[in-house]
Amino acid sequence: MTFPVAIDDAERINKLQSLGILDSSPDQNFDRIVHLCQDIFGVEIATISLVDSERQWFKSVIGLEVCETDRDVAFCNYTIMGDDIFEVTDAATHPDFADNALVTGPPNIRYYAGAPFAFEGFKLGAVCLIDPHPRDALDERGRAILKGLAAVVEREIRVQRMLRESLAMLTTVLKESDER
Amino acid sequence: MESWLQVGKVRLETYFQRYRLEFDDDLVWGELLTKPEGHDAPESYFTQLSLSDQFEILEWHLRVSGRMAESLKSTVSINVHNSLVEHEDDRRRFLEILSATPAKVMLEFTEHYPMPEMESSNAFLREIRELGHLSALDDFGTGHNGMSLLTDYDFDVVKIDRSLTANLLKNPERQRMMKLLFQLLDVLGKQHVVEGIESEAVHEFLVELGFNTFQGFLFHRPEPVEALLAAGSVGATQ
Repeated sequence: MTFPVAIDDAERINKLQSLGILDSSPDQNFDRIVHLCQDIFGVEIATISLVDSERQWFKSVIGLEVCETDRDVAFCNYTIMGDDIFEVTDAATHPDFADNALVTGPPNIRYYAGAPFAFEGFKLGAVCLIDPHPRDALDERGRAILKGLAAVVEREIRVQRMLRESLAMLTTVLKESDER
Repeated sequence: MESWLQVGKVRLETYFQRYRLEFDDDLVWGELLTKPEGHDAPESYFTQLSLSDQFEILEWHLRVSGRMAESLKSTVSINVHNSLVEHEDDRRRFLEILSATPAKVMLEFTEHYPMPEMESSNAFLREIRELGHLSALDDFGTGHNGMSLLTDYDFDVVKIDRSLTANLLKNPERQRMMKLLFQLLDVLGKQHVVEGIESEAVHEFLVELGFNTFQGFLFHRPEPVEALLAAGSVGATQ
């Protein structure tokens, strides 16, 4: 399987791995986002995918039993190449995806739409809508909602990182105030 | 019953110190504290042990935890030396041992020693979670270089070192910081245990801020596991 890779992919992966978000515990706020995706768009599967060096790992997922897949079958490889939504309305007839293992076998993806999110300029992954049936392309309202949800994820990742750094700094100050 | 373990010439005795839970008087949760007979500094004793001794101690602790869960319905926290999980092979072995353990336990790793690099550690902590156990960062607030393992590592529970609550009642600035600490842990979804609570005034103050799980002489002293199992009950919350 081939997929597009940006020239700064190694740097991007370093950034992702330094965030401490890969393999982290389930988080209600991210779970809310995938539930919203499922409810709003009526798709069977919604994910918040992070594109790691050899895999895509789902920070949150609904409608699938797995928490990761190999990177080479990830539709998100295409999504993180751009700033806009990447959409495939029928994967079975798409030249890049017709023989993808996730299309020819379970979960038998036919429809995919992903909106990328970034941290410090690097695309970490995407909020994804996935369905085993072909669908019409998102209308303008749908596109705005999906992009809005990806922006919320982007902000949440940034805020959580700041909070964890603040926690470390706070304990340092607490310790110093004890020594004064 | 194996409430003690012979390692070389040293006999290890284990004690259980129950936590105080503000939200549940009936749930029994606490820490196994293991003392090497004749050693005043347990930490330096455990640091010099070989890996195979460490594994033997882990398996013993898990057996004791199983007995405690069975007869006392208690959840047990176990201290694990960070060196035990330094290498991939040892982490595999650790998880195999853990997956054969019926009792749900909390595994405490200390901030005093480094953990493996973040990616391997977080994958390891995820597997612990998926087996139904909890991981905890022990001695939080005492780490070196002013940084905390909590910035990068995804522990479920944070054990707040007694040094962070020292002089709390005399120092308004410190009180505001403790309030912020609670809020940060809460919003990041971390459970906590505040260690070293010895005065009711400090306890009341922390409860007011929202803290709900405590360890300290004010509530429970460490009790020999053998005696607890013989009695068939753990001392009630005072």
